Amino acid sequence: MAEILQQLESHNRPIADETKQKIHEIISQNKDPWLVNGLYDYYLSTYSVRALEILINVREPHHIHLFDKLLESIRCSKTETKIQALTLLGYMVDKQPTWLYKITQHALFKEVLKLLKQECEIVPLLSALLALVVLLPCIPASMKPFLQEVFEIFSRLAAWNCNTPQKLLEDQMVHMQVSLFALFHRLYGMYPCNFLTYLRDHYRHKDRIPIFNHTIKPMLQRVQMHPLLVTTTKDSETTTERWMKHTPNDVVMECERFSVDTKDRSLQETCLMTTNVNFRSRSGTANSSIIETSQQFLKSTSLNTNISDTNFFSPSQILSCQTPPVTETTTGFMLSHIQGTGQSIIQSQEGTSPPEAAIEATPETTPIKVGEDYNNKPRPHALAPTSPLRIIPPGNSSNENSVPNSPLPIQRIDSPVSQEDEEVLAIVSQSELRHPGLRQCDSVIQDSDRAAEEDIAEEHGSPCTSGGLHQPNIKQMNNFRQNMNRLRHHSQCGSDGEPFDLQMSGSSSTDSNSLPVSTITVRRANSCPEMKKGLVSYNKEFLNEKTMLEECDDDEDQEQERFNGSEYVRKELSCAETQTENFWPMPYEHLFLSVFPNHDNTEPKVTPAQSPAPNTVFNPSTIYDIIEKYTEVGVQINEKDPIKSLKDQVQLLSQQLLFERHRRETHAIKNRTLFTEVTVNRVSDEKISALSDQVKMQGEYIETLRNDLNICKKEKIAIEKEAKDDIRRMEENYKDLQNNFETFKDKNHYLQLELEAEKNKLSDKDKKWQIAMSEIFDAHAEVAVAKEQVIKLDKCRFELEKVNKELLLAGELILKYEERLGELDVLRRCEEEQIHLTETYNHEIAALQQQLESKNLIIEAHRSRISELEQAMCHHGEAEAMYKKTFNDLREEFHEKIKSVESKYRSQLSVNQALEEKIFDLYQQVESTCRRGVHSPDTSSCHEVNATMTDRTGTAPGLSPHSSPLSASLTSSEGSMAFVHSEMKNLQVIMDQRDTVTIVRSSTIESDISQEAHSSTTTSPSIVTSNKND
Amino acid sequence: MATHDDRNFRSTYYEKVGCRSVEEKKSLDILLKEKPLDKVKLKQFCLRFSVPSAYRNIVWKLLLDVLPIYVDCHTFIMQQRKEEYSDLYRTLQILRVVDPMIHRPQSFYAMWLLQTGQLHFNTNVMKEHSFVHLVQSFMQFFDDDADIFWLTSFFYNHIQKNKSEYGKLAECTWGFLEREDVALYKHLLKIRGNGELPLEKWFDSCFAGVLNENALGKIWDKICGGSYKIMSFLVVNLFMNQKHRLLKCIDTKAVIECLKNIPEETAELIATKSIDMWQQNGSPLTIYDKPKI
Repeated sequence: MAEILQQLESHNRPIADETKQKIHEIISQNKDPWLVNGLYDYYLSTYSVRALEILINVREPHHIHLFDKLLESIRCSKTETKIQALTLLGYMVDKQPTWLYKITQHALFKEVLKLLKQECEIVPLLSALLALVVLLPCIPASMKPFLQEVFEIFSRLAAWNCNTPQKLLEDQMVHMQVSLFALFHRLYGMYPCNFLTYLRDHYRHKDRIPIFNHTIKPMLQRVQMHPLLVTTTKDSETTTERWMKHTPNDVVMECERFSVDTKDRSLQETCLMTTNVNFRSRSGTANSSIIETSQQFLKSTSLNTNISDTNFFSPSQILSCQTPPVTETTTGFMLSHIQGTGQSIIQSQEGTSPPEAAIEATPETTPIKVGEDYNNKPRPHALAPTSPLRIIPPGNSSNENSVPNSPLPIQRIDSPVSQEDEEVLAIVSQSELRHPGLRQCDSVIQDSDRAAEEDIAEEHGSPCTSGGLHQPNIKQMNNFRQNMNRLRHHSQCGSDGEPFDLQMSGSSSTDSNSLPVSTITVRRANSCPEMKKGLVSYNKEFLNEKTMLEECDDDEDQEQERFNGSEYVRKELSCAETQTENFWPMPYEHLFLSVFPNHDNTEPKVTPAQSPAPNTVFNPSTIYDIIEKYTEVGVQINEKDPIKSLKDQVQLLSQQLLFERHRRETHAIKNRTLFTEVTVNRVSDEKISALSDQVKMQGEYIETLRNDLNICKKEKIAIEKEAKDDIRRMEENYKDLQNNFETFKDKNHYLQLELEAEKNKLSDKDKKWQIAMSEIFDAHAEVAVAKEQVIKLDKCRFELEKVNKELLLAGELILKYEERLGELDVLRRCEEEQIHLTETYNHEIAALQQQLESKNLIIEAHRSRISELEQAMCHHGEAEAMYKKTFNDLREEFHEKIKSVESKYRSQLSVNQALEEKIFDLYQQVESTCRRGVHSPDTSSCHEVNATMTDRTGTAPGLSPHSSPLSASLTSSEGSMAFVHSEMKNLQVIMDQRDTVTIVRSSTIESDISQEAHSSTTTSPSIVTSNKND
Repeated sequence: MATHDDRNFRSTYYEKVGCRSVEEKKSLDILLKEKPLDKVKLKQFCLRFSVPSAYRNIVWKLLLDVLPIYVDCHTFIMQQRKEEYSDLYRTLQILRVVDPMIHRPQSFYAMWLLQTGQLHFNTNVMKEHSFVHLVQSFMQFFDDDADIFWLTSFFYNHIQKNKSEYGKLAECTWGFLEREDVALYKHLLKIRGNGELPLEKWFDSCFAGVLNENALGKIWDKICGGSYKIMSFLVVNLFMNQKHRLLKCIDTKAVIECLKNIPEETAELIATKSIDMWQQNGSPLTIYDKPKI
């Protein structure tokens, strides 16, 4: 760790950077607080700037440790550590890390406020105060709960001398005043309503009125009326919405806007001017005259800016402690005219001009204020502010002279005037050169405000003067103003003739400036190490801050750069401002350094520290001188406790410096934004100019149109003339025609009269004609009547003839009818005969009808008879059928019966046959038995033959051949057998008979047969007999 | 059935229920009241139904022409028949062909021979003849000897008309058996049953002596109706009924033996079955009748 720290402090810059990087890495990787704490301790012990830098750049989670550490050391009773902590805080606030807003949540912030309320030591108090002032715009929204405390702090500080027994030194007082004023500005700018109500409440008491008169009032006089006092209330002022869109820079700028310094306005004006000019030139349209003027303007402005860059910024700072950048520009502007003049001088003369220019630059700023003062009050001092050029009082007047100069050149850039100015300036510069310490003059000149305030304060607060609580403040303020001016002179022009000349020559002689610059560089190189020896911490800071200077060994280069820059600026105006900004940091530091010794030595010198210093040209050499002077003065004044006071001074200055630097940076940022706006404006201007060109074109077009219109008008007039002629001619014609018309009218009249006469005649004739016509009509009527009568006559004659004929015919008819009457008698007889005949016929018809009826009846009877017979026939038929059927049935039945009988008979036959066989068999047996005794068996055959013989003779021829021998044998052998034989015969007969017997008798036969069957063999003979009988 | 006009719904109802006999008896009564009797209708009736045993006598007599269709002459004709019978019987007694020792069937046979003129003094009356079997069966149906004699003789005559067809009938029977039961048919073929079984003899005697009288009655109703083809169905059913036993038989003797001893119930079952089958096949009368489907 020790090694790292050693490396950190090494002179080799890259190594130091590396170690820084390393430590940062370690911190970011490690969340433990030990490293931060260690670094903090290290810082406390060594005042190491690099450690401080690291601490400021620490990342998010470590800030709490840092805050804790700070809180710890602020609470510590040791003033040294307190101051150190506050310094660190100051740097931190200046750096504005992202976590800065969290400070309000930490006890540290409250502790700081507490410290501000209680601390009596000036150095820590002021450090804290400045830190607070810087911090305010960063945390506008979260300030609400602390506002009252801040106000109390303000009132406490305002009433410092009343409250604290320990009286401040004069230089300390200046610090106090400046810081207080800064605080006042912030509070008024940010929370006007709250602040004013507080002030109203707080300074209502009678015993506080002096404080108000002496301290507050002058401050109030230096600010404009805040518009928010009208539009907002106490509460809405502190809301977060209001601050939402505001960056700290915006807030600062807004606060600055309410200062009454005219520089602001002038700045704006210049800006406008320059931009306008530029655009016109760019547009390059027909407005040639404007262009020319603008070009002139351009040149002048460019020069001015250059000069301002290089030399002339310090004065502005001197003028307005609050707004360094603004002043810069203003001065630049003011100078531009002078520079313009300077240029002309350069053309005519040789090297004498530059110092003049430089001198001019310084005063210029002051005059504005003077002007303001004049507006406010005519001063007794007023060393011919109105007579700027000609009345040239030495030293004091020079500034004032310059003031009026500046306005003039702005309007008209005339070389003669500039020459006059030159002279004046030259004189002033000389005077300054002669009296390097002409502070009084300066103060007199510049005091304008403060002096006035002082006066006012004295006037109002007469009772307070004895207390001197505030008076000193005001006085100091005035002094402080004066000092500032003085310092400015020193810084800008160089307190010594040599450097100043050198510088001026370098700056003025833009083309050739190498040599003098080199000398300057050498000196500076020398100065730096010395500085370091004397003030290590400051040197370091210094070095860090202005990297440009340190890096470049030679001033030559820087100078050249500057000049190049200036040239560049001339060419391109737009870039000028930015460049100036680039250069700013360095001069700031220089000035700061330079101021520092001055401040130490003499009370009034404190202020220059605030002026952040465009004074790049400012030389260490001058600082050196200042330090010497300061030691002298310091020895004279501070004999009591020189070392302590010195230390305090140093610290105060450092704090102040820090504060001022911060302010400057914020302004720089604001400027950048403004510049962008300017460019935008330019673009819009270009557009406007383009539009104007268009307008012009349109105008031309309108012109041509107008010409056309004229031509048209002429043509129209010609045409009208022609028309008039025509009209005239027409009128003449018309008159002629009218005359003709009249004559014709007369003629017409006559003719009409004639016509009427004719008409009358005609009517008379008409009447006559009508009468004639009526007569004719009557005649016609008569003719018609006559004709009709004739026709009627003819008709009558014709009818008469007709009637005569009819008469003749009727006579004949009568004759004929008479003949017929004679024949009527004959007809009567015939009728009678006819009647008789009809009667007879009727009778005949009736008779015939009767006959017919009778016949009909007979026929009916016959018919019924026939039907009856037919029915009978049917019955008979049916009966017949019945009979037939029954007959058939019967026949069948009998047939069946016969069949059965036949079968019986056949069986009988077969029985017989069997019996015969048996018998035959038996016979054989008998014969055999006999023959055994008598006969031989051969005889049987003889018998058989006999039998056959008998058979043939028998009456039964129908017997079967079989039976014949049997029967024969039977008849021959036995009686019984013979009987049977006869029976058989009978049967045969019966059978034969039966064939012949009629059907009717069949029944009897049947009965016979049945009888036979019954009787069988016993009755057989009787049957046979009966059969024979039949 | 369609022939009976005065049958009402009740008859169809009876038929459906299964008590055929009631309706059959009624219809048969109606038939027998007709004058003259319609033989054709009677035949139809016999073919369709089995004739109740009470009517069997008169119906068979009418169908076999023992009695004519004219009812009036029935008594006379029966008188003649009886006389003829008694004549024949007395002759035989005289001839001493018949003695009390001899069995009546033989005596009937002798009478029949006598009537037909075939009886000679050396004729052996005792020899076996289908007529004798028939008489034996008829004796079980009826009591009157004259009736038995005449019915037997006419029945025999009736059968004898178709004797020439028996060969074909046998063929037809075997074909039918083959169709119905191949296994049995093959078995019988194997034991050469088709050649050796006395089918023609059975046909000749119309299974008299083979089957029980009740079964025979049913079959003979059909035969009287004019169908002798029923017998082939009977044979087939007989075989099929006795299938299990027949399949065990190795030769025809055993088969015949087996068939001889058929119990009454079985015989009736066979008869009804064969009638059913016959009716299913369209009630063919002769072998030429094609089964109506």
